[in-house]
Amino acid sequence: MASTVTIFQARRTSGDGLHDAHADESAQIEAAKRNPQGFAVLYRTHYRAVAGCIYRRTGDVHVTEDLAADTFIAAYRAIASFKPDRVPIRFWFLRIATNTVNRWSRSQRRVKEVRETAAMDGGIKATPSQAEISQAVRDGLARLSLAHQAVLSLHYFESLSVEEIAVVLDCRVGTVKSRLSRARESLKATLKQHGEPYGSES
Amino acid sequence: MNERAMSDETLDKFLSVAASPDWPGPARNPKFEEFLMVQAESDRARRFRRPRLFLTLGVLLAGGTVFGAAKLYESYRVRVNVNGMTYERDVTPGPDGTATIVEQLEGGGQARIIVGPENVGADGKIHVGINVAPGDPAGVSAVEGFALPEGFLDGLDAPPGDSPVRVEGVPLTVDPESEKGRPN
Repeated sequence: MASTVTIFQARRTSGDGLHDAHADESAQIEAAKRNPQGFAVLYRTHYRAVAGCIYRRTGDVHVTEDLAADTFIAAYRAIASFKPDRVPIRFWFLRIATNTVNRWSRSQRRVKEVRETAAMDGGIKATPSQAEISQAVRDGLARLSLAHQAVLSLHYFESLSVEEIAVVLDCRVGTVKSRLSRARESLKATLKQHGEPYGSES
Repeated sequence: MNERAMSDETLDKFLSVAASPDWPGPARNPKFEEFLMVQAESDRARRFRRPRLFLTLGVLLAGGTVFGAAKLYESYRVRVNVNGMTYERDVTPGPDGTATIVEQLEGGGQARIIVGPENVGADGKIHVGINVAPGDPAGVSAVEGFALPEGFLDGLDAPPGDSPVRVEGVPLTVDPESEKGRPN
């Protein structure tokens, strides 16, 4: 965890531009703590990133809009206790988004099981489209534990390093690494077992 | 490439494909913006309410004080007893806080009685006593607890003897309980 902190500090002090950006962000956070108008600035800055993060896990625009709204409402209610020296604001939003999607994912499992059974009946396609691959990966992810879903999506979809994921999920780097390794194996097995396009490529 | 390596490569490829879509929806979220608007409205109302609350409290406090004072001096019931005859009037103080009551006394003569804030005791009532002593040209020998205004005794033609003339006033708005203990 200590190495993670060092990484962020190094990034913040590596140039005047970053200093300015950090100062701007701090000012935005303070304004967001004061009133809703201040929070609106943070919302506009981070909305697309948060919505993208959610969308890559849900694959549904309407669901994403609902979950993104829930994410920002939760963030608005918690912003007063946010401590920027512990976690960058972007990662804090990703943390809330991840938790929000995890809750939704838990509630959707039964629905997904029904849909996936129907998909299996369709068999394996020889040349799956990108959309089909994306859907297959999302469906595969949904079968994993929430902890594995989180590390895989943050690492592969949001391009976060294991150190950064450790900050987002508030756990140790070693934990992230082991979860990532197990999550990959689980996803491969799941894709193969459920006859998704993965099988046709190997 | 062995089976395991191929599997990793394929998985990476699939994950890469799944990671590719950017957010295709709008850049704004109506549901959250509606929430934020409600919060802003509530925040504005709260900020507006705070000074207004203090202002209201201030007005109430000042108003209470003024009302309390007005309640004391707004109106008096003044009774004058002369030898068993009661003269009772409601009087309203003028701008200087004093009120004058003029009574024609039985048997002639006139009582001009002025009461004011200085006559209000700690209990919120006015206690004024006038004793008429024999031989007093004005018929009044003493005044208790009352700062006699100039000319107070003018024209008062009290009956002879030492029958007391009592003048007392109480605020009309005094509650019945306190009325019970009102001294004569």
